Amino acid sequence: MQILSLVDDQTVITASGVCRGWRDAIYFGLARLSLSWCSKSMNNLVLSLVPKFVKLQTLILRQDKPQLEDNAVETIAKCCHELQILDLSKSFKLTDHSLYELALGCRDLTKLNISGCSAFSDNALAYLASFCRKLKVLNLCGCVRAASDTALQAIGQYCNQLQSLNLGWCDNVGDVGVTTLAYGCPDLRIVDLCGCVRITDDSVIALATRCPHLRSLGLYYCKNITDRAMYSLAHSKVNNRMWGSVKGGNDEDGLRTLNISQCTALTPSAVQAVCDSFPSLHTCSGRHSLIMSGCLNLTSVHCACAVHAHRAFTTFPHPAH
Amino acid sequence: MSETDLAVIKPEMMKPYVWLQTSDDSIQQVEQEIAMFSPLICQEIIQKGMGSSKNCAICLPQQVSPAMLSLILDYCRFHQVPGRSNKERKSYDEKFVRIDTERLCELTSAADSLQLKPLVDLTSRALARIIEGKTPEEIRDIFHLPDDLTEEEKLEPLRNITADPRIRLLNRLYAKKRKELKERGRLKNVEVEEEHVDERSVDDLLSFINGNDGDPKGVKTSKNKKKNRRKKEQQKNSSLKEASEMNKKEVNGHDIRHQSSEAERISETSYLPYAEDDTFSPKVEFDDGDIDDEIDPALKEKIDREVEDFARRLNSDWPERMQELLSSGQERKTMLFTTDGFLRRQACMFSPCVTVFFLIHHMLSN
Repeated sequence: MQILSLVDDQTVITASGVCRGWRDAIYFGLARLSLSWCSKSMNNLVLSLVPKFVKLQTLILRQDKPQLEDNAVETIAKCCHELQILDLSKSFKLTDHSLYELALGCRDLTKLNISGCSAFSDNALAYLASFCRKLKVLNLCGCVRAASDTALQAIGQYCNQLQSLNLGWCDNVGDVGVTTLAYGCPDLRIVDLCGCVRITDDSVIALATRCPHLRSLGLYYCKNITDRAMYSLAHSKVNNRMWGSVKGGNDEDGLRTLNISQCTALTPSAVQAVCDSFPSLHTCSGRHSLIMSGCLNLTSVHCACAVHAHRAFTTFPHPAH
Repeated sequence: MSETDLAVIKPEMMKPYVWLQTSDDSIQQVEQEIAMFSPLICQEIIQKGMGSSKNCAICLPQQVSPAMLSLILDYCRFHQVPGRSNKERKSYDEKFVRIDTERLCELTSAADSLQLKPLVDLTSRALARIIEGKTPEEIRDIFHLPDDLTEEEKLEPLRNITADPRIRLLNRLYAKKRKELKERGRLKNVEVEEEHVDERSVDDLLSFINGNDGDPKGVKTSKNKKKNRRKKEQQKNSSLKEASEMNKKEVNGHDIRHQSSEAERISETSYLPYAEDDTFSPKVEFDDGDIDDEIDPALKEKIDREVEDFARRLNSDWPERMQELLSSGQERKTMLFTTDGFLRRQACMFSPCVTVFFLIHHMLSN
């Protein structure tokens, strides 16, 4: 199996037709399979292959053209009970039926990517959350119908181990959903709310106060975010440091990536406060982790290393000057 | 070496050895430092105190033959030397795995049983390179594996990977073979039918096209008759499989190649037995005299020019059109170009000569 882990997935499938020994070894030993290379008949491929690979833990079914249909996901749910990682991104043809089947069949899911699956509803997602309680990574980018406050409340209630959530361009998401999520999932490390135009400072404050391990926060195009949210983030560092000293946390904790592009209501002083609180946030080139494009009034905000470099340059001018 | 000499040698200069027993029960003495590369041997030495003498030699797993042990020790000796550059190590590794597949498999198995992860990775990568891009048959030949799967089991994975052009080609070949076998079986039991000749005059054909001065009912009835006739003839010749025919016609001295559609083949009364290559019906010459009655000479000349021009155009871009037809999978349609550049796609229900008459009639009506 180690040899087959080094070859491409097409070769693995071909190898299963060599002899009985190889076939059985592959069928009962293969843990990871990607069919993203299949550009035409992925649905048929899933229907015929997945029932044989009973020990699958990772299944990547990312598509460029939508091919997967509900019957394929139903087969996955019925056969792959050990599945932990599933990528169904861009499966435009899938309906709620798929999520209901996954909820019943794949309860050990830890990573689920359904970005671009625009047909899913929030009820189906809430149902999935109530069964798949081990979810740690969930990508809902572009799932406009599925990602609503109702669904987020269910996720906050049941998926308490969640660490990463992408809600990009889910414009039905509001403060109620994000706040419930922050309270229910204290382990959240990565939250992407880019394009969630309805959220306000309350969401950011909830995340800042309730999620001490928050590393990355995307607020691109969240026009309603004001300085109040920024000061809350800056202040959370102090609280988390106190909490960390009790639990033995390290100094590296805290925000490492913050995207506030197009958040035009923010002022330099508030953003600078966040930048000063989190040394891992950089505005300097090469380590750009505080992203502020489109905010022309924030040009004066600089990270510590940029300030030091500027000071060094002014203190010791170039000999040529 | 005398005892006094031995006393002079410092302890760190003495190389400790361990005794290893391979699968054929032969015992070898190996430098402990090299042997300890294997976590399995290391465990035996440290935890169980084995290998210190010939009597308590470390029994190596069944997969480790003397030849394989020798190879493994060579690998460990090279990598144990400090100060070698990554380039040197890489170069050595590349040469090291340039051995025949059988030995490479044995080496992988032996290294795996000794838990030598770096060597297992190296040999696995080499084997992966051998396997990649090969068909199941080739893999079986390379590794001398038994051919113990049924035909269906063998083809199942291939049938699924339709994205692979090689497999698509293979599947097509299989389908063709099956078709040929079926056809041969059918043709054995079939008597070849007599060839029927269409004896209708040009006038009859023209009136058939016009459908009794545009009476829709008339057209409808003729269509139904045609359908019935077609059904009868299909039943009559159901056992025969007609190949696609290319009918070559001459219009005013210009060749027109016309690909007959399935409907057209059924309506045509001459049937050809199944043939592998394209067959061409004999050239048909016909006289325009009947059509040209009661037409002004100037108009006649104009029509002649247009027909000639049409024929020339049809000939000039025939290969491209043929390619286009084949690629778009529309062999069942016939393209008709009129003088005003209007493109018509018509399911052809008539024989090729009728198609040409229909074209001329269309020109006249314009």
